[in-house]
Amino acid sequence: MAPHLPSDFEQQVLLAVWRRAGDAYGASVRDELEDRTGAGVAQGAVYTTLMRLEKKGLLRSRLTDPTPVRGGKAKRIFVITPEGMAGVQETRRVMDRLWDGLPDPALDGNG
Amino acid sequence: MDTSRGTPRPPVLARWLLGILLPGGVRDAFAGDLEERFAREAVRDVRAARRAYWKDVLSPTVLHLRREVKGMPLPPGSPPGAGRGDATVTALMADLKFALRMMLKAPAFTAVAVLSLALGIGPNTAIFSLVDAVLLQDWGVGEPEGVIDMYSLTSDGRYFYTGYRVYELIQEGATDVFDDVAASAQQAGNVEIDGASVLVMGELVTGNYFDVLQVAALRGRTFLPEEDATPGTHPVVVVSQRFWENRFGADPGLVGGEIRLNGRPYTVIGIMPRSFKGRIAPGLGTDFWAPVRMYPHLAPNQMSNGNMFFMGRMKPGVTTAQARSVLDAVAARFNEERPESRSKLAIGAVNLADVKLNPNFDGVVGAMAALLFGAVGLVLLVACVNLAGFLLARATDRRKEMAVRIAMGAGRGHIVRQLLVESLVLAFLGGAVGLALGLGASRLLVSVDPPVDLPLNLEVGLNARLLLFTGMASLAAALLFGLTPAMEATKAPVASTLRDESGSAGGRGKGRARGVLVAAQMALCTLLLFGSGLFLRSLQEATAIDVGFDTGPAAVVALEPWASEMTDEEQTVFAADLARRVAALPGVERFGLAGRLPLDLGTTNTSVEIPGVDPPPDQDRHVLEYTSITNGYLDAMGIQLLEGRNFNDSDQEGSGEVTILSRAAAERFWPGESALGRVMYRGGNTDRPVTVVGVADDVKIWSLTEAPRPYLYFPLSQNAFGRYFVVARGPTSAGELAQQIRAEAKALRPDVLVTAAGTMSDHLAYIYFLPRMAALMISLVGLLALALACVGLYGMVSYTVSRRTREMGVRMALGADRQSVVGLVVKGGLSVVALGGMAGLALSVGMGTVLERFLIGVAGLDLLSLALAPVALGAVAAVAAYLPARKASRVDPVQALRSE
Repeated sequence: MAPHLPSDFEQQVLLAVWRRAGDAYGASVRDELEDRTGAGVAQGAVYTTLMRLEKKGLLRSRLTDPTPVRGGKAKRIFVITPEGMAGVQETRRVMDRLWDGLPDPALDGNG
Repeated sequence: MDTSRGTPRPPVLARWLLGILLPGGVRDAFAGDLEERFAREAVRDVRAARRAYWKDVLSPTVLHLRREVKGMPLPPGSPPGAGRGDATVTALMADLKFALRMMLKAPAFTAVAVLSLALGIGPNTAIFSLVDAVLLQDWGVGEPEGVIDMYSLTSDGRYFYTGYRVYELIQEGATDVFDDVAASAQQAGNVEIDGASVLVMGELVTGNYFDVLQVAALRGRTFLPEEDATPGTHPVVVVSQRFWENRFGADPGLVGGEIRLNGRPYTVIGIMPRSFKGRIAPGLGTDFWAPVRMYPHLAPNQMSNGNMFFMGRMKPGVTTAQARSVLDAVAARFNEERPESRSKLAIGAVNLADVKLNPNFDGVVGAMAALLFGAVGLVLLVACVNLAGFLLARATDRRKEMAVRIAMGAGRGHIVRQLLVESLVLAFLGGAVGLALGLGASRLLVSVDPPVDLPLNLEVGLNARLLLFTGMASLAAALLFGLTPAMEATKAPVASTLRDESGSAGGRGKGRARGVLVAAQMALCTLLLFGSGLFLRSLQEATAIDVGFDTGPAAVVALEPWASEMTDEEQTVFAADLARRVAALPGVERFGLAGRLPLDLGTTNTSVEIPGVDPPPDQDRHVLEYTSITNGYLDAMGIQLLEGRNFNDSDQEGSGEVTILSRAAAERFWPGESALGRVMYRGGNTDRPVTVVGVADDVKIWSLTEAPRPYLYFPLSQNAFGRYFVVARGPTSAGELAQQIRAEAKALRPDVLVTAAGTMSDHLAYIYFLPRMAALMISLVGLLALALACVGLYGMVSYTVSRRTREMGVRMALGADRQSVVGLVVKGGLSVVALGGMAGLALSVGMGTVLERFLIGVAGLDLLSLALAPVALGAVAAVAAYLPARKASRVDPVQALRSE
């Protein structure tokens, strides 16, 4: 259905935005990614991807009022668009089809 | 340096960089994200948080983000004007990229330019890092602006150390302005480490010293009040972090352990942090602090010594001026109590925040620093001029490129900006290399061991101030050398340039501009060479000064028997025994003992009353410097006895006291008459007449340049000294003799402290150290400038040659011989040198008078130096001009005519 599926990292970022629904901005998305994947990631990488996804129409953003904790700077809050939601779901379907039937060494112990 | 008091903030530079790198659409949100994370991490570890912040800012992903955002609309909710300035930044980035590309295209040019600039910036960085280490360090004291340093003030405005009595006066009389007042006296000590004795600098301080200065121990604690209450009862010591790390390998067991200070165990109760270097001088850190009440062991005469100064912590709200007026009142009251005294007390008070080293020396050291900065600043100028020359030449080569750009619609402003960015990039690279060179050089300079037994404590290293300084120097250089060529480049007439009239019209103008630049360099070089000449001559004069004693080979051994807890009688016996043993050494022909040696960096004085001779108006008695000597001393030192007799064995304790005067003393007190047989009273004590039995020739006591000073000699047998020097000469080599004497002293008393066992030239090394260093440094700087200027000259001449290849070819085709062609080019180069040299000489005349105060025995307008500078310059310049000119003579006329 979707001609361009989001890349791996884009999927991760989309899902992190979805998990932090309502409070998804640069720092919180980075925290979510680092917590869930256990790997460090540069703020620049997260933000570049957020921007690219917004350009593709998978995310939407607006600025909040400035908060003192952040040196008086506004947050840019991101929300996943219906297209974004459709994108991750389509990816999951495609991946599931590909994964289907792969033996799991953890289950049958002959790895 | 650490600014992390209160809430920690992310690094300013990184934040600023981020602001430049990112466009308005994401700048604030992104920076806010980083700030949020920083605030969270800083709670645990500020340094790690700063590192992480930098890592995020310098990550290449930031550039990716920049590209990603380009052209995107601002998000809803953006404040008006969020995207302002983005276009300029984008254009600058493009300029930057272009500049880097141009530099890679001409790697040789880039390398020469960067290196040339680095050689100019390096010395500046080196000198700055030294000045930074000496003058710009803070004292590491809590709220220095609340501390007042107090000295006694002489009538001619000099600050002197003073005695304990003044401390008591201030403590009693200034309670309105001070919460508390502490005292400190410098005191060298010997610490035994692994069997060897090490000379260390210490301070004897009152128990409240650390509280007044508001510094806390890094480990352990500072003094308790009872540790400074009774004389000689609390052998405790606080040591510096540096001492602890360098001498004891940061042994955690040192606190609570013991060190042997002057032969006696002291308990180490605390270690002071590195940031607090004590109060001797920032470049001369304190290694140990002991309670002043330990004076019976560490400095027996401390309470009568005038070697203290005081620090008062002002009450809140009190100003320095208020403190001063209270101190004036204290001094006035003291003077009123002694109306009969002619010496009046004045207390000099300086706010610690205004003190760099010592109120007396700040001016001199500042002037020295200014002199060095002047010299290295000239080198930087020479380097900048060099680069301007290179860039000018390149601008000529790039005229076509510029013309095309202007024809295509580029504004002149844009082109100037483009060229400025190029020179900025060059300056940045040059600055970075220069910083590395400079740091290396300054480490080298600091590692030069001054021949004075002082533990120098200079910390030379990279810090924010140094980076800022180098950054500013590079920026100034970029503007200096980038602006002229940039302006020149845009002046080319577009149409004719494009028509490929590579002719002489524009070229001649540039050639002249370049000639002016090289001439300027030569002028600066002349100035620096003249300076080098002056300091070399000054060194020559300094070593030629007659010090009044024999500076030839001699063993000089310094002993401090007082430190080994000998009684006065034991010390006298020890001195006599040692003298006998030294006399018995087979390699000794002449020898003597003396309490002080001339030019030993110290002084001991006594006050005397001289019947019929009034003391100076502000003093009750004559205060004169003296030394105690054995019978053989004058002979061993080669000091001439002009009149009367030497001391002999009949001058014993109990027999009539005698003295030998220096010629200056005899002439001052009894001008035109014989001093022999005259009487003076020491300390005004009329029961103790001292009879003059001889007059000796003057020797230099303090410095090479001093006028002859009144000086007294007493027999050691009548005036015991707690420490003395043994001077011996004979057929055995001086160094060996010194070791033998040291061995004899140790054999006599194994615990005796020997602080030096060297030669006369070791002893004198320090007095020539400053003139030597000054001559060396200024000469190096002068040579560097000369080398840089020659590169400039070489560049100019070879460029001329390359532009005039065709002309050369024509000349040779028409029959000119090679020599005349070479001569033509060299002449062109040298006329520029001559012009510059002349201007330089004119400037030198002005500079000489400024330098006069730093010179020994040389006038500021020394003709020899003035004559030599242009000769040296001319000789080197001739070679620099000849080398490229020779190339011109090898031109094949046929090839030359065909070219272009």
